[in-house]
Amino acid sequence: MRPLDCSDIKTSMAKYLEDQLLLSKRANHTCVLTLPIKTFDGRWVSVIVEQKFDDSFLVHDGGKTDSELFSQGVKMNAADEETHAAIAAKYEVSIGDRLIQKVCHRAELNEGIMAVGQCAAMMTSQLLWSPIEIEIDRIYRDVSAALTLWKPPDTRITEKVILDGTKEQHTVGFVVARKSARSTAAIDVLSSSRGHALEKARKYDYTWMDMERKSEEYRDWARLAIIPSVEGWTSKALEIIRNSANDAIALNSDEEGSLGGLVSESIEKLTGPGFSPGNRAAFSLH
Amino acid sequence: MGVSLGAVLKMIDEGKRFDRSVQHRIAIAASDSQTAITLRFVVVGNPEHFDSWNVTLLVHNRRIDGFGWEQGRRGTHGVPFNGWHRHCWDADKQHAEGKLPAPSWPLEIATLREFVARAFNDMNISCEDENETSRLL
Repeated sequence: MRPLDCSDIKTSMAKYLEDQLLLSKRANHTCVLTLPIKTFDGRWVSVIVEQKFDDSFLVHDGGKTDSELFSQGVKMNAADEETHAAIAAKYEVSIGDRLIQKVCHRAELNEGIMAVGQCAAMMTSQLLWSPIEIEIDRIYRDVSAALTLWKPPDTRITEKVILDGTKEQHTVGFVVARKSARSTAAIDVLSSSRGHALEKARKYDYTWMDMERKSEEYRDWARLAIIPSVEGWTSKALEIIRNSANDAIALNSDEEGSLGGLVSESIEKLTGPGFSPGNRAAFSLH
Repeated sequence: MGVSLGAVLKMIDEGKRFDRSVQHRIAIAASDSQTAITLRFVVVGNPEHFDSWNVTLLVHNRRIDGFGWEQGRRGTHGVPFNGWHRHCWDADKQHAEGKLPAPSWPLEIATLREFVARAFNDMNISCEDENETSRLL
């Protein structure tokens, strides 16, 4: 075996990078560079360089990353946006008007192009978690179908209801109001990923505490928590939910086919005559 | 699903995203039953940068069809492309990351309006302002 000289590897790599680097010119002192950096959805990252003044360049992704994520079903929540801001900060770039961007002088241009490109690729790691969104969507659909089948004539079902708390607004998955029994129940689907079950449980608990502080009316609402893929939940997280909700449907991933029947059974009990929503433990956060 | 081209473009111009979901019932093959699917139709992009323009159709939040731009290398089946492309659904992989060059599209599309009109036309999305769409093609 002839040992490969390290300088040969460097030369070969430099040629590879040069061959793979694509360039196209656009109007108004603008160039687009496609870098040999792959995104999590298999694209090559393109970076736009606009010369603004003699020694001032705006380097950005044209909003491509944001657009691609949204087009692939990624719904960014506050935590995701914080993660993206943290990634941008690490690469010393900023996010503004949905563009990953950096202003640099000529001497910093190469570094700026690489930073925007790497940041754009890194942010598509969000796509790895998108199945959880698809899962939530499916669970909501199953719950909606079960409620429609169960629905007594004097009952109103509203989906994705925004309610005021003292600190912020909260979204409840479903609100079921049964006129004859003068009862109201709220259903939440609590999907959690990446070991965030405890955080999810605490958020659920906090949501109801905040709403009760805003209005005593919410104390009389029965609460049903639906926990898909419960195998990923810790006992501590489940305990918080048990204390905060009146009923919880916790299913393993392979048991979710039975969700519809369990939802109608639970909601019938929670909104039926004789049920007192106040029969639940004190808030675990108290 | 009928949408207004004017309404879509107005939202994009205002820095928003056009995002509409509808429930659609479909028959399940080889069975008498039906199921409901959630169709989501999305138009996004920065009007100033055509690299970011996307028209997308998603089922249960997963892209199954759409159009966009990419300065790329090789698309699905090794077909080279550099520009406008259509996403094609891969039933085995259950995604539409694969791309084919947009048939009969010019490389130069000057406006987001023209891009959206062409995508609507090729995806058989009916427009409430149909006359305007036809005029652009």
